[in-house]
Formats: sequence, C-alpha cells, structure tokens
Amino acid sequence: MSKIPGPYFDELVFSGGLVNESQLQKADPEELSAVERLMNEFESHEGQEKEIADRYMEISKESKNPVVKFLLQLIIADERKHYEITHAMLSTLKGSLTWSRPKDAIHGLSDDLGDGELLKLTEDFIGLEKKGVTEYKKLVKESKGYYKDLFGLLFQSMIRDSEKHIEILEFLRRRLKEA
Amino acid sequence: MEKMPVTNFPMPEYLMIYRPEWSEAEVPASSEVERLVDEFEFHEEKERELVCRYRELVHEANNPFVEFLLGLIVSDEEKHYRVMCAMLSTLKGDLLWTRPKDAIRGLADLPGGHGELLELTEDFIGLEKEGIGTYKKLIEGSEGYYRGLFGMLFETMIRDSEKHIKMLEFLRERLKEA
Repeated sequence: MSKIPGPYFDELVFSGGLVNESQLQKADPEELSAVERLMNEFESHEGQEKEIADRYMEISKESKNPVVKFLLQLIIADERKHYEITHAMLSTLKGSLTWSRPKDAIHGLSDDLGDGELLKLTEDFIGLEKKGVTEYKKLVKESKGYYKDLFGLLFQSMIRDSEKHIEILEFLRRRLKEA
Repeated sequence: MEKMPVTNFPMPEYLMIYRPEWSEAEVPASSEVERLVDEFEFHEEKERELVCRYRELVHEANNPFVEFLLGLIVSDEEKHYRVMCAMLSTLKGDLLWTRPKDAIRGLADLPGGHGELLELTEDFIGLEKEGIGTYKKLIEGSEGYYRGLFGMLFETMIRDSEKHIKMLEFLRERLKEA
C-alpha cells in the first residue's frame, strides 16, 4: 500500500483511529459510510446531551428547595461535561474524516508520550485514588444515618467518581507504556 | 387534653444531624459529632491537596491528550472539594447552631405529596437509564477507535449516569417521605 501523503497521516494511522491501517488498506467506501454513520450517531447524541442538561437546569431553576438545587447542580455539572466530551469526540471524528484539525478535537494521542516521569506519576495517582476510595468507604460508614443518609449518598458518588478516575488513569498508563 | 398532632410538625433541620433510628440514649455526644467534623476537615484538606497536585500534573504534562484526560479528573476533584466544604459547613452549622451560607439546607422542607417534582424525578430516572443503553450502543459502535479512547470515555459517562440514578432515587425516596 502506498502511503497517503498528508500532514496528519501518522497521527491518524498510529492513533488507531478512524483511519486505522486496515481501513486504509481496504479503502472501502463501506468503511467510510460506517464512520459517517457513527458521526451521525454522535451528532444526535450530542443534541440529546444538551437537551438533558437544559431540562435539569430548568427544574433546578424552578425548584425553590436548596437541597433539590444542590443535587441537581451536581448532576448538571456532569451532564455539561458529557456534552463537552461528546462534542470533542465528534470534532475528532470530523477532523479525521476531513483531514482537518478542529480546535476542540482531542489531539496528542500519538504524540511522544514516552515520559517515564509521567508514567510514574500516573501510577502514584492510581494509588492515591484507590486509597481515596477506601477512605470514602470509611466515611460512608461513619456518616450513616446523618441527614437522612444524604452524606452517605454524597460519599458514594465520590467513590463512583474515583473509580472512574482510576479507569481514566489506567487507560493513560496503558498508552504511556505503549509509547 | 387533645393530643398534639406531632406528625404535622416538620423535624427541625438541626435535629437531622442525628440518625432517625437513634433513641434518646443513643444520640451521640457532641464529641462524636466533633470527631466527625475533625475527620471531614482532614479530608477536606486532602481533597484540596489532591486538586492542586492534579493541576500541577496537567501543567507539567505538556500534551493536549494528557491534559484532556486529566482535565476530566480535575473538574470532578474540584467538585468533591466543594461538596466536602458543604458537608462540613452543614455539620458545623448544626453543632454551633449557626447557618453557614454554603451549608446544605432544605432536607426538612421538601415539597410533600406526590406532586410534579416526584413525577419529574421518575422521568429523569427513566432518561438516565435510557442514556446508559445509548452509551452501551455507542461503545459497541466506536470499538477500537482511537485506541479505545472513545469507548473509555463512554464508560465514564455510564458511571456518571449510574451515580445520577442513585441521586435521583434518593430524592424520590425523600419526596415520598415528605
């Protein structure tokens, strides 16, 4: 296969993304339409994320109760982030498809990540997050029953976040090890 | 003498510091609550430190992909810090009979009955569950793209949605009780 010239070819190929090598070899229009279909799905999902965040926002504005507002604000912050992430993924896909570099796309996956220091720090943070989970679990027990279990609920949600952070850091660790 | 309809009086918020199942003898001495305040304070400081360390790492990473991933964590950690501060203020406020501005209030005066908010809460639980189904489909559809980055990001969204369901279920229970 002859190498397709282009400034971002290596990034696109080595990121294992849209134009992974097998797709390039095939250069199959069906593959392209599959990517376009995925892009449409992402687009539709991006719209849904925005709609949900707006609906939560409406209820939060309408509610006069501070605890309801407090809980909804926590959810809204996540929903807004989901919208931003979906938007970034969509831009990344679009950029790969049109050989452009949208500003809000995710870049750098194929950059040189071979930094031993960063790998070590990532390991440290995985350890810190795991320790954090243990501490939150202790706090869930100790604050059981307080404020009709509101504190327990909040600590449980922090545990879920920390587990999420561990998944993100483990993903980063794998990429750093590959680099 | 007519018996006072106790149930019509909402429990004062400061009393919610105690577990509902505690009898008078079991109500903890203020020292127990103070110990919890100390622990929360310790943890609040740790959250603050963690946010600072993550921010430093983001700054040092000098790679947009690493910054993107760590940025997702930093925003959560900042939220944890704010939630810890709010919980601590709530505890302190009840211990000192004060009303700090950032304390969490309103648990005692949730709108009663099975009104609109309860219905909306049920609707949102349904939406979040539907959302999880959509994320799972998107994970399948984007398998292998960008070395699994998209799949991992959708997994994090599933975790968030599961968290939202727990929060909404909590709210539903409290609304039903009100």
